[in-house]
Order: sequence, then C-alpha cells, then structure tokens
Amino acid sequence: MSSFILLLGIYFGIYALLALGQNLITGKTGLLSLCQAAFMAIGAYTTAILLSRHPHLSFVYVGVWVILSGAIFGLLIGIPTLRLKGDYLAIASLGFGEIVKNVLLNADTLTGGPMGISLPIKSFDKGLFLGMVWLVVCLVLLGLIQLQRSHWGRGLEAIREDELAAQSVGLNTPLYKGAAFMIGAAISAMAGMLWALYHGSAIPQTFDSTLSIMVLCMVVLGGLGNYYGSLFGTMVIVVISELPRLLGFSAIIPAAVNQILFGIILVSLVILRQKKS
Amino acid sequence: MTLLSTHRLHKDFGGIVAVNDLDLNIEKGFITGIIGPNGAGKTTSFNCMTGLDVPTSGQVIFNDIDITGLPTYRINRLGIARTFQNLRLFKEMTVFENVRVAKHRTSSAGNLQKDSGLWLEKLGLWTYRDERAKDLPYGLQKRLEIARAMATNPKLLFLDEPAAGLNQTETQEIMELIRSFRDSGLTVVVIEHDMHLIMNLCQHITVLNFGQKIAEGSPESVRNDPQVIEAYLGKEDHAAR
Amino acid sequence: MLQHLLNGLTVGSIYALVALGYTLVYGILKFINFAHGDVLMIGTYVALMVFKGLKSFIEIPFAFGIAVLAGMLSSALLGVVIERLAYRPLRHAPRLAPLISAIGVSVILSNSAALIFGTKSQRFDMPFNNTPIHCGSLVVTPYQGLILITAFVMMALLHVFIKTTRTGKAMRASSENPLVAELMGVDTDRMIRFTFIWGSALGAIAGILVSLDYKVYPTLGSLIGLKAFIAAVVGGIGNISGAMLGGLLLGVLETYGVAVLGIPVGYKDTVAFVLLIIILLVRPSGLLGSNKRDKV
Ligand SMILES: Nc1ncnc2c1ncn2[C@@H]1O[C@H](COP(=O)(O)OP(=O)(O)OP(=O)(O)O)[C@@H](O)[C@H]1O
Ligand SMILES: [Mg+2]
Repeated sequence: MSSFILLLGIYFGIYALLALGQNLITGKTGLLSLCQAAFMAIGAYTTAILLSRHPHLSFVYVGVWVILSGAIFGLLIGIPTLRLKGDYLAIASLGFGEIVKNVLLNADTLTGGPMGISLPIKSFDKGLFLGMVWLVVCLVLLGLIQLQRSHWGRGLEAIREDELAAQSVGLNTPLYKGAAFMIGAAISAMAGMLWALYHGSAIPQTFDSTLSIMVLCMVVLGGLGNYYGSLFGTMVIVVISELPRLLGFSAIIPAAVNQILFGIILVSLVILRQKKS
Repeated sequence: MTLLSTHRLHKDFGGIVAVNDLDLNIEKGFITGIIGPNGAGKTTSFNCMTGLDVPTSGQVIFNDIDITGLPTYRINRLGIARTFQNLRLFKEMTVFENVRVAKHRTSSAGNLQKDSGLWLEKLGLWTYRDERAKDLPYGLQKRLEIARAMATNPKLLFLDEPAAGLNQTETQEIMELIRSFRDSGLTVVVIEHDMHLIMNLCQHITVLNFGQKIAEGSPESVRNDPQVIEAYLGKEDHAAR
Repeated sequence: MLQHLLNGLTVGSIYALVALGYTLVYGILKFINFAHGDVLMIGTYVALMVFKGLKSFIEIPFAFGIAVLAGMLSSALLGVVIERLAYRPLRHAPRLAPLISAIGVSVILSNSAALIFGTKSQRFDMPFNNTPIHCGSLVVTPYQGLILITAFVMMALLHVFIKTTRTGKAMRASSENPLVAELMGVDTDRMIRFTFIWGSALGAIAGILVSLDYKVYPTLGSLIGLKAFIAAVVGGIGNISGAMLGGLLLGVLETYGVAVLGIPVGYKDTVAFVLLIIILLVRPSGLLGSNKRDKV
C-alpha cells in the first residue's frame, strides 16, 4: 500500500512537470501547443541513448543534455510557428508529435524501433526517487514563479493578451515565444528523463498524443495561467487515471472511460468559465 | 525639420488599394492631423509606418533611417509609439502592468516600479492601478492606451482616433493631454473624424481620400480647399462627427 | 508515372472531401473544428452497422446505398448537435476556448466509439466486384473509380451550390463578414448549421469510401482528419477551391514521395507535415488563400 502511494507520488511529480511546461506555453503565453508527449519523448530517449551507450555517465551530465535537447526541439517546433496565427499551431504541433513518434518507431538503429531502449541501470528505491522527482518539481516551480514576476513573464502575458499591441510597445515577440517554447519543452524533457530512469526503459507507445491531451486537460482544469492550479489539475487527473490501474481494477474500467472523462472536463470547463465571465 | 517622411508609400490588399503613392512629411515638434472619409487609408498608412503592415512599395524614413518593413518592435524602439483605432489593451492585466510592460525598456530595473507609478499619476490613472484594464470605463481605457504608448518614451506618437466614443469633457481632456505632450517636445500625428479637435489642435493637416493625399496645409487652408469640401467636409454626416 | 498520378488523385480526393469540412466551418467561424475527423468516423461506423444489418435482407447495392445515407445523416446530425452544445456557447470567448472545447469533443467521440464498437477494427466488405480493369498500361480498380467519381461529383455539386443558389451566396457573405451579412438579413446561425451539416456529410462519405478498402476503427478519423486539415491549410483555409486543390496535391505528393522519391513507407505520413511546415513558412495564407489579415 505504501509503495502504491509512493508510485502515485512519482507519477504526480512527473506529470506535474509536463503540466507546468504546458502552462508556460499555453496558459501564460497563449500558444496552444499539443506536443508535450513529444518533448517528453525527446528527454526520455536522450537519457536512454546516452545511458545505454555510456552506463556510467552521471545523471547531472545526462540532465544537461536532456535540457539542451529538449530546448532545441522546442525551438524547432517553435520557429515555423512563430509567425502563425494560434490555431495553426495546435495542428502543427500535433503533426510534430506524429513525426517524432514516426521517427522513434522507424529509426531502429538509434531508437530501437517499436521495442524501445532498455537502460542498464538498477531500479531505484521508490522513496528516494520520489524525493528526487519532487526536488526537480520544486526547483522548476520556483523558477517559473520567478519568471512570472520578472519582466519576461509580464511580456509573455502581454503577448497572450494581444500580440500586436505587445510588439507595438517594443517587445520582441518572436524571441519571447521562442523562449517560452524552449523552456516549456526543456521542462517536459526533464519529465521524460525521470520517466525513463524510473521505468528503466523508453518505449515509443508511452509518448502518444493522448498523453499530450491529458496534460492539456490538467492545465485547463487548474485554470490556464495558474501554476498552482496546474499542480492541482495534475493531482486530480493522476488520481482519476492512475488509481484504478494501480488498485488493479483497471480491467473493469476500460481506458476509454478515462479519456471520455477528460474530454467532458475540457468541454464543460471552458464553457462554464465562459458563462461566469 | 522633418522627423518622418514617406516616399511614394503604397499598400494594396489583393486588389484594394488602401494607400496610393503617399508622400508625407511630419514636422518635428508639431501636431499633424490626418483626416479623410471612412476607408480613406488613414489607419493603413499608420500601419505601414509602424510595421504592422508591410508596404507594397515605397519608403518610410524616420530620423534619416529607412524603417520600411522593419518589425513593429524595432520601430517602437527607434522611437515611434502608437494607439489603435479599436482599443488593444492587455485586457486581463492590471492598469499598472499595462504600463510597466511598456516602460521596461526605458527605465532601469531599479526604477521601473517607481517610474511606472509616476507615469500613471501624471496621466490620472494612479487610483485605478490595480484594476484590470478591461474593467475600466471606456474613456479611461483610451487614456490608458495613450499612457502605455507614451511609457515607451517615443519621439513620435501616432494616435488613431483618440477621441472616438468619448464625450465632450473627455475629448477636451484628451486634447489638453496631447497639447501637453507637444509642449514637452513630442511630435504627434493624430487621425480624427472630430473636426473640432483637428482644427483646434493641429498646425498642419493632411487630407486623404482613396489612399491619396488630396490636400494639405494649415487648418485654414484645408478648411477652404474646394477639393476637401467636396470629398469630405461637404458630407454633413462626417463634418458633424 | 500516370499510374501514380491516378493513385495519388484517388487518395487526394478523399483528403479533399474531408478538407472541405474544415474549410467550410473555418470560413464562417474562423476556428478549426478539431472534432471533424471523429464526426466522420462515427458516420462511417453507423454506415457499417446499417450495411451489416441490411445486407442479408436486401440486395447488396441497395443496402450499401441506404448505409451511406444513414452514415451521412448521422454525421450531419452529430455535427449540428456538437455545434449547438460545444461551440456556440463559446462563439464570443477568447480564441483558445473553442479550440480546447473541440479537442475535448474529439476525445469524447473517438473514445465513445472505442467503448461502443470495440477497438478491434472491422471490415466493410466491398459491395461490388473489385477486379481491376486494365486500360493500356493503366490499372484502375472499380473502387478507385467509385472514389474518384463520387468525390468529383460531390465537389462539383458543392461548387455549383455555392456559386449559384441563394443559400450558397449567403454562406459566402457570412464568411466574408458575418456582421454585415447579418445586417443584410442573413441568418448566421442557419448558415453555420448548414456548413456543419454539409461538411459532416461529405466527411462521412469520405470515411465510408476509405474504409471500403481498409477497415473501420475508432481512431480512423484522426489521421485522415489531420491530413485533410493540412490539405485545407495548404490550399488556403477558408477557401473552398483551395481545399480541393490542397487535398489532391497532398494525395499526389504522398504517392510520389513513396513510389518515386523512395521515402520509406514508415515515413509516408511525415510528407504531409513537412509540406505543411514548408507552406506555412513560405506562404502562410496557403496556395489560394488571400493574405488578408484581421484589420487593426
Ligand atoms: N487587413 C486588411 N485586409 C483587407 N483590406 C483592408 C485591410 N485593412 C484595410 N483594408 C482596406 O483598406 C482600405 C483603407 O482602410 P483603412 O482602415 O486604412 O481606412 P481608414 O481611413 O482608417 O478608415 P476609418 O475612418 O473607417 O478608420 C479600406 O477599403 C479597407 O477595407
Ligand atoms: Mg481607421
């Protein structure tokens, strides 16, 4: 039972990172991107590729590479969309997610194809790992709150409110948006690294677009733009989606029911919030 | 002395010619008015000069620098600020934040808070500093937009219909404000349909119709120009506004 | 070469039919109906069920015809209901809201289908003899013929409808400027309903056509939907001829990419996304789109 609570805590932490990254991109900057799963995959595979070839690399070193590669891929999806109207971004980023998955499945020599990559590491003590995950979450949260209070953070919000007006008061909006994407992606890549370390493997099926939608759901549930809200939303969704599985009666409740619930949450929340305002 | 000039500025939108070979000269230290019937191309010419629209052809020269087609934020940093015909505030942000975002480039980090506050005070918005921009009454929203533009410390300010939708008192206040800017050395270009405002405020007026300049000069000469009367002032509904 | 072109046009006309659904809605509401792919998937399932139920009682072609109508009808109905429940309350909301709502609807539909119909894919038996016909060096299956003919007839009908009828003109007026159109007496709500009905019905036809050769499964709509959306953007979203052009172009490029350029089949789907990114960089308004921006 206690190991089950620990596991829930670990999942909560990893998903929280994804949600925080999404909130920076979507909640704060107003860019609807749907590829958190792909960014997470980048982190997981960077970890897996590095560690499977050089098992004795230190985690800090791997972490630096994970953050870098996440940021680079974030920029990659960010650049073509910097000039775009918001709606296209949603689709373009979904497409980006599909491309990443395609590459993971097909570039066998690098990614191990559909079987993925196993890591040559011992499994972690759950309690220790939980501490590690939440240390990362806290650092990220602190950083994001700091960012929010800085001029950069206000600039991002201004872009969300009105991009043209933001430009007209001298904000270099492409730079801001690119940075938001890089940071958001790097955070998700860290989540991917933790995921790969914990499971001792990276397999392509994990990083599906349904995961990206679940993350969006967490952020919408907690209120777009609110980091603490994102944490709350994550908690609710993790409990809803992982509890049955961890308690072992997932066979009774098909996965589709969860997904439907997420869908209902998304639709009803945006409508309810609109009615209130 | 000329602060900004355009040379054969041209903009079309797939067939519609919005600005047609426009030559403008904005004199430093004056208030210039741009008038013309609806759809004459006033806003579009503002957009071309501030980088929101990229001109189809022609040039915009500001302070001897060719700024044609530069991104909006670069143009702002060179010293041109503007307001919008349809308010474009950062609606969910507070009054204070609206100004602070704009003030950032012109204040050192230590003074940002204080400077933004002083600036709000100067424009009579200090009491509303913590309200969300969208909750302000319309007149104050227009004032906030001017405050935000001015917070970027421009040399040249473009105002697109600053008095539209305002009542008499509010219009009078805006006029005072614009005059005070001029007196402190700022160059202002203002688009307005309100003839009272234009005639009382501007030293120089340019009249556009169908994207072209049909007349320019002092308020007196423009008022009596037969072409202007025909194109614009002759129509009662416009003059009345 | 010609054979690849034919194959490409066949795939492309499916994309085009689906792309019309995105473009029609975007034209008026200026928003991407994310759930379009799933709406057509449901229609396809309904058609499959009706077909299975009827085929042992009445003649196959007849059963198939009824099934197609049932599929179109149910998609159309679903489209209208979704618009009413999930999009209309958000018509004046900030930009992100309807998009998020649409994503939610999409998730609900595809997973409901998985619950109701099961995740295992089902077959749609060809309702006709599909022996290929050889004309010279060209090989055409009756199935390809059916797709091409249906798609082109549908597109031609839509084109004529929009260009000549009163409703068609009103629809164009609404997408040009909804406010002005309303002032001129156009009932915007009705126009919106209209676009959802026809967009969804055309989508259902496309869904049934693809699944004849392939299979029916709950996520059937997502990949077609994604590609058709890309086709709509490539052609210039909001532009009806653009959607058709974009669909055909995408189909041909994909086929050539695999057959001529030797792109591995596993990467076939990337062709569309690469095309999307190139278009968005070079000509963000799409091939036939006007480069109009919202007035400021
Ligand atoms: N983004 C755009 N796309 C297409 N046409 C445009 C665009 N912006 C302006 N136009 C057209 O260009 C012409 C000039 O418009 P503009 O807004 O510059 O006029 P204006 O003089 O500011 O009028 P008003 O007094 O009504 O504000 C109009 O015919 C308008 O419809
Ligand atoms: Mg105007």
